Amino acid sequence: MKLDFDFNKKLVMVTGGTKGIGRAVAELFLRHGARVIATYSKDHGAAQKMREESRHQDLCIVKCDVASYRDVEAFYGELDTRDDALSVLVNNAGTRKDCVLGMMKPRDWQSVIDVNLTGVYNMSKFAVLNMMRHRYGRIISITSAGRHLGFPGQTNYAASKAGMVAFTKCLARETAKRNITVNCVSPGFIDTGFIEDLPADLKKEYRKRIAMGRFGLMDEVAFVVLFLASEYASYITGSVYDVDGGL
Amino acid sequence: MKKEEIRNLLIEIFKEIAPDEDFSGLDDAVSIKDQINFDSMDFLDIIMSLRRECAIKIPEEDYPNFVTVESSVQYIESRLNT
Repeated sequence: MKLDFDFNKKLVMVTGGTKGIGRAVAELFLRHGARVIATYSKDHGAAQKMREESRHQDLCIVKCDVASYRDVEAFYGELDTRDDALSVLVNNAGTRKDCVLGMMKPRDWQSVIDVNLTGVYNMSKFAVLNMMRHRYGRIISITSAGRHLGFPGQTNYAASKAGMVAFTKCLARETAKRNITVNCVSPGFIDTGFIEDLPADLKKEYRKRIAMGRFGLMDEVAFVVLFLASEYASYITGSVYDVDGGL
Repeated sequence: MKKEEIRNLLIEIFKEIAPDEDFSGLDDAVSIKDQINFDSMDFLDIIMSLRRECAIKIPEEDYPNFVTVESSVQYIESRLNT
């Protein structure tokens, strides 16, 4: 059997899909025949850059704050009006506000939880309703190795990412009989803007912890997402896939 | 869509969700949950199927209308007429 990853105009939504891993995922789906909606919340520059560089007829870039229930509800309302079947949701939108707990402002705790965890609730809730109507769906959330490694300064981030895994396991149970699978992909240190701001000595130290001795590539994460979104991953649900080079 | 057609559609959806259940003795005035062993996801499935089949929107705040077959049919009929 030769595998064919043609998504044949299926609708795929990637939150935070205009930069970093999200963009790599969105572009990989486009290359495999999907229609892609890439959302962003604040970075108009990245959205514009992707719009100009991609120019793909099946790419739609939409501003949507995943942390806002109303925004998300309105966003799905438009899909419902067109009766468009959402086949794949990739919960990728994420933020980091690192700070040791004793100095962490309530707003920095809350904003990370709001985007990383409440955003997954908002997006997945309406996705499930859409997918139930069309009797098919794949939900993939991008968590992080930070959820279990315990880096100082990341209590908010790690809690949100660990919560995402628990959320995934529960939702997978709820939707399994409806042909909707729910999984997580957990990248380690990936060469994105997300870790650009780390000090050089810290990056060196992190590299030493990776069995493969290097940071991962965005496409190396995207490939796993694409597989989980494909029909070949039909018997996988409630799982977490580590893509971390051996952490 | 007439009331009887809506009721038939509802029963068809029930059968699709619970193919082993017998719906012939269903009392339209009694709570569906008291007669059939539907769980919350089944209930949501019924509402999503009705949305699809009837091409209507069913806001979350209206879910409590789906208690009995009678109240469900009445609600769908009212949505189709608006």
